[in-house]
Amino acid sequence: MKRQKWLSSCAAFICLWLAGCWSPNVPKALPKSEHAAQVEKLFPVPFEEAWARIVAFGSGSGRKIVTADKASGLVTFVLTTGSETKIFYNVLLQPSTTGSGTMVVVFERTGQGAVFDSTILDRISGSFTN
Amino acid sequence: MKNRIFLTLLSVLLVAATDPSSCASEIEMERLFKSDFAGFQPPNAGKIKVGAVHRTVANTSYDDVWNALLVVSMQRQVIASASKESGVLVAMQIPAGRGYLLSGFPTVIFLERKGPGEVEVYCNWLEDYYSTTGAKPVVKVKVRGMTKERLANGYLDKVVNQALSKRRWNYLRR
Repeated sequence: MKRQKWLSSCAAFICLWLAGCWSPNVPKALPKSEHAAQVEKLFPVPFEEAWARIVAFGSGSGRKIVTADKASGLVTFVLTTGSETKIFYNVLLQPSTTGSGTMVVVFERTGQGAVFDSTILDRISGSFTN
Repeated sequence: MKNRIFLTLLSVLLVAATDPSSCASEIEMERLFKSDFAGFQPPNAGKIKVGAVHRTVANTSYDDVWNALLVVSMQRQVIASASKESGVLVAMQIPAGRGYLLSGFPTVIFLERKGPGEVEVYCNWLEDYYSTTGAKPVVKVKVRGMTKERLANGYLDKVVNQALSKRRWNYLRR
């Protein structure tokens, strides 16, 4: 009786395991970060104006432009923080598809010792209003 | 005894290959990052094509594939140079302190219009960026054909996906 119970438990486990193996390959949702950073923002200005302001921002105090290609809408600039640590910002500008304005997307790459800059889009916004 | 000497020599060579601080001179990639890419000249199309892995992207436009390249590259590496007109893009990851082998390979891309709705994407990993900057440059890392195939497949799958979907996909997870 005990043995029968044990065998049926094993059989149930194997069935469940096989069912798991045979389930269709459904893509799983990526886990959401607890520290999600804002990476894109719509600026209510035409592309030309947004481009000029971002280029000015990228070459501002402590920052240096690495590459800029207007046809692509891409600017990469570097910020050197204390003790020679660096943050590189890849910035992509694209005319908004939903109406007027320019969508600005920023992705950072940080050097060793540098801290992720979560306020970059706010500071770019600030430079737009000055 | 012979085995011991061999193992010691092997470990010294491995450390030298992976730890730039143990070398007399730095590699080109480190110099570029230190100088914020001042005066950086991207390679021309002819150089990129030699030994490159390439793939045709159909039913799309040059603009869409170029945008896809930007969206994928900017989430993975620092874009050191990009020109939509010439179709050349160079992206590199910041060399990590303990060894440049662990920090990802510099990716060089060339985009070519092939036919109506067809674009050819060439990916390459040039050894120039792994050369020492001294008087006699020495290539520290050789990226072999199989490694190039593996890197290109991982990269181009994302680019094609991005080009055809047009919605920005996240590739922050490596």
